[in-house]
Amino acid sequence: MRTVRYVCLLVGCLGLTTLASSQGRYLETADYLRAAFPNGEPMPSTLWVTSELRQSAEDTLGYGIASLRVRYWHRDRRTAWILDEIGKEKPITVGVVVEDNAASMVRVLEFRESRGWEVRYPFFTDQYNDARLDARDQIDRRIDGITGATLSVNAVTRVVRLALFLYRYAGEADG
Amino acid sequence: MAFVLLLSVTGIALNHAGQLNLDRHYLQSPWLLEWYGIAVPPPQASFTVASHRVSLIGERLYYDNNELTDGIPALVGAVSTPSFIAIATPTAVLLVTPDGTLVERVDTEAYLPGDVTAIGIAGAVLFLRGGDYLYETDENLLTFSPCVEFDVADIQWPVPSAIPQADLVILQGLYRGRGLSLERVILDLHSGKILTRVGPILMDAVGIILIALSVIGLFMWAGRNGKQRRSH
Repeated sequence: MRTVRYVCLLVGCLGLTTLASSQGRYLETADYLRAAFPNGEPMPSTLWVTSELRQSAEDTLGYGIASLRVRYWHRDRRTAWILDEIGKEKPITVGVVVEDNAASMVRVLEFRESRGWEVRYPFFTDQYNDARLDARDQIDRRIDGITGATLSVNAVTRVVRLALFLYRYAGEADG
Repeated sequence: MAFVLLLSVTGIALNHAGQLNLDRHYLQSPWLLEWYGIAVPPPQASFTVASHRVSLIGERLYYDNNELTDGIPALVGAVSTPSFIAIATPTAVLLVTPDGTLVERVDTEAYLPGDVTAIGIAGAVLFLRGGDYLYETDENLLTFSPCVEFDVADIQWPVPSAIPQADLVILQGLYRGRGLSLERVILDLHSGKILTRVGPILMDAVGIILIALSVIGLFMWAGRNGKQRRSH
């Protein structure tokens, strides 16, 4: 009887842990930007998605940008992008810092699916530190996936690629 | 034979569901939608703005007679700025061009202390109200600041209006047309669930028969082999 009680308690704890670790808002935008710009959050800028940029994104990334403009924050050569990308059915909100064409501080701000939330953990997101686009506009390294979270992994990778790609255009827009 | 073919074809299709984008193809057949009981919820809210109409049915937002986006929990209001149409939800403001192209979806949770309950306009200044706060911003939504020196009587707050019946029929047709994906139907065909309670039992029976045939066939082959060896 005692064994049964302990087993029930253990299963209950595991269940609670799973619930606590699943979908939700993990990091507020303001907190992410504060961490990205320790010397003070800059004003947001907008990058207009011209037809040339849109076509280039589709040709090189295979990615269709849904909106006419993208919001980002920048100070000097450091930029922060907060982008949404669909995992399986719902968008995942991901923050990416790009400086000198290298990614860092990749964070999952909000996760809305019921599975694949493991991508929020540093053991996964730290893989993108210093990631760049290679000659084929792919991430310049192999990203280890997570079993059962393939779609979420792919979504985060797409966001990082897009942020690195948009950085080039943001640099041109700012002169 | 027909069941085996059905299982095989649907199984192969489901194995390649991603490549075939089965979840992005929707079926429009009225009898199939009826069979699945795909019902259209009543419109949640609708606003007329600058000779356009913004409506929310279920969680799908429509601009005139086109679906703009989905995943919208509520429609708070819509106003016309000099350059855009600003559509407010509790946690975001969508900027749209007059011809219905999405410019940007701005997450207001990053800027405001709570959910948005109203959007208003005075000239080119946008106002967002929620709880006990009132914030003002420009039409690009780049900066938000508490409203301290503005006569709130000058702010125009939009009022919801009913959707004309003819437009409602169109929107309901659009809503139902995105209610049933091809992937869903193929899954239900494969499992038999398309025939509600009887279907899975039928598919189980087919499975058991296939297993039985395989086992019987194996025994018959083994028996024939044994006889051939004994005769040699």
